[in-house]
Amino acid sequence: MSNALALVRSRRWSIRRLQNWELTTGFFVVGLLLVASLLAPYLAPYPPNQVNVLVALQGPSWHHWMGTDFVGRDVWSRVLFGLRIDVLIVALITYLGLVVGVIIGTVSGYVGGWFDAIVGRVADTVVAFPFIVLVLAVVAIVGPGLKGVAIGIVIVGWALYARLARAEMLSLREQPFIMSTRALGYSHLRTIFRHALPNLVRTSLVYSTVDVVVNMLVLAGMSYLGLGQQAPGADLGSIIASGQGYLLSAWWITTLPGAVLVLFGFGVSLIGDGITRGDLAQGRL
Amino acid sequence: MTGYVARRVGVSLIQLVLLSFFAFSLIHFVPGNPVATMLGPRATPSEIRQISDSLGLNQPLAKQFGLFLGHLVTGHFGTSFTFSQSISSLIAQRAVPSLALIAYGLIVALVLGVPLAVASALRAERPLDHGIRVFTTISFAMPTFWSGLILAVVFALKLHWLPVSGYGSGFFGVVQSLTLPAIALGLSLLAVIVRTLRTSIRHVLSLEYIEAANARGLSTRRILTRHVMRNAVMPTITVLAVNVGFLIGGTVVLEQVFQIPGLGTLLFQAVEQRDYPLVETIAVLAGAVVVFLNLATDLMQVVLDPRVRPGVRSE
Repeated sequence: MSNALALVRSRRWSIRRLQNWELTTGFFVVGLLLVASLLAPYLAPYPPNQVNVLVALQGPSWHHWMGTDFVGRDVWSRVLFGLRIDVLIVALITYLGLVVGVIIGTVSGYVGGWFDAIVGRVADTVVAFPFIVLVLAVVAIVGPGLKGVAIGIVIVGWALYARLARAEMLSLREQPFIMSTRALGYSHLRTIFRHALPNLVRTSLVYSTVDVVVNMLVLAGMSYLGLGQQAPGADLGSIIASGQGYLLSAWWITTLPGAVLVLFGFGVSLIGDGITRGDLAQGRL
Repeated sequence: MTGYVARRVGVSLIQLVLLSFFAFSLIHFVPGNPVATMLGPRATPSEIRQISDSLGLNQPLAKQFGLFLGHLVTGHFGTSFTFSQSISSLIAQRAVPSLALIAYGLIVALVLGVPLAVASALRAERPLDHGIRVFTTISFAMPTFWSGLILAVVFALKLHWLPVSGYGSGFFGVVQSLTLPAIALGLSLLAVIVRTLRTSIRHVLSLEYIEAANARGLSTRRILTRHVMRNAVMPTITVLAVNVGFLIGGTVVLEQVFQIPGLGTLLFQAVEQRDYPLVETIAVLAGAVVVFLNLATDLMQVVLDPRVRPGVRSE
């Protein structure tokens, strides 16, 4: 009896794991890339900006996994350091936007009235703004560099989370457990942060997996345009751009760093998918 | 229904005003002195003052915003100081290539996306569905400039099927020169279309009237085209309208990759030259396009689908 039960359990477990291949693969891919980028100073075989013209434009080999660029810098080492910058900035700005947006949205939904109406309209408007156009406008004012790009992304980033959190708060507000906090005499702050927020932050966290990918692409796009990371520092976007003139003779300079970017985005998206699927299976959505 | 339309139009108008205010306030509230950035590190304070005066940056904010709004409403956007040409004629010249690219990209995304979504929905949770999901997830994670460059290497530089860059003349010239960027743009939008459409097709397929259609012995093709798709496309159209901003962004970068003389290139030049009036105007117009499209889809939905008409009970 207990054996049969164990068998059923283990089979269900394995089916479930198989069904959630997204989560497993996603965590594996992202984990690997995160560790590689965070340990870049230890893992990179060469200093990222070390010029060695003698080995310029060499194809991928045992010595240079991703080949070398036009001045003989090791592309793999540059990719590790570039990914590190991109990952750190994207994580910072995405989750800064999430925290700000969720707090604004939750408070707005809780307070209601004209304040909520204004926040709702403003958030809708910010979301309507074409993202890259706005980031470009901010870069025009702040000047080229990662700072301008980061400011631009955060200015837009909070709004989507504010919308999500506000929508959830509007329905939570009518739930008995929130209404009863008033009867219990809890302060507004305690109701919002201890009771409402933990229940609504999940949607935003799941959405943030999409946002991380989009922000990563915008950041890389700005660096590709020469408005993000400035030389000699390099992030994935600027490495891709640097290989543009050598696409026929040295395809690896552009192609391989781009593939790393795609792999990262793919892994993050899989994590988001996996979480959503898990929620569906448990009837949480 | 007129009440709803009036209210919906009102919301869009408010959004437009907020949008203009937002674009306007960027230059004033984002840290950094735009004029100092524009003139570079060797500018003297008197030069900075002079340029600020000519841009009207020293007048009261409310007055500046009033002027800015007035210009937007009347279409007199002023003169670009880098191109020494009126902003409205500049934008009119550059709008065509950009709009063509966006339309073409959208077509590519739909031509690829709709069959994939149908296949994915009909074979849900089977290997084909998983395969399509992996493919669209990868295409979503691809930077448009990277996929554009790879397409250019393969189809232009190696195979010589299509031009590497530029903007051709005549209908076929335009189609030829925009094909590669449009594919790159379409691929980036593919995931959104396939996901939304797959979900709504699966939802419609689970409804009773589809079962009834099956019981009546209608062919799968007929059920799909006549019964399922009609009801499943609306959410996708709404999502597409929301994602037009995303398409515009993709266009800005792709125009640089393929050297297409469109609004994206103009915006990029304006940013490089710190031509603030031009940057502001393009930003507001791009936002206005998104607001307008969202309004259009919402209204279209009301016209096409009686169920979402306010005052009509669906159940």
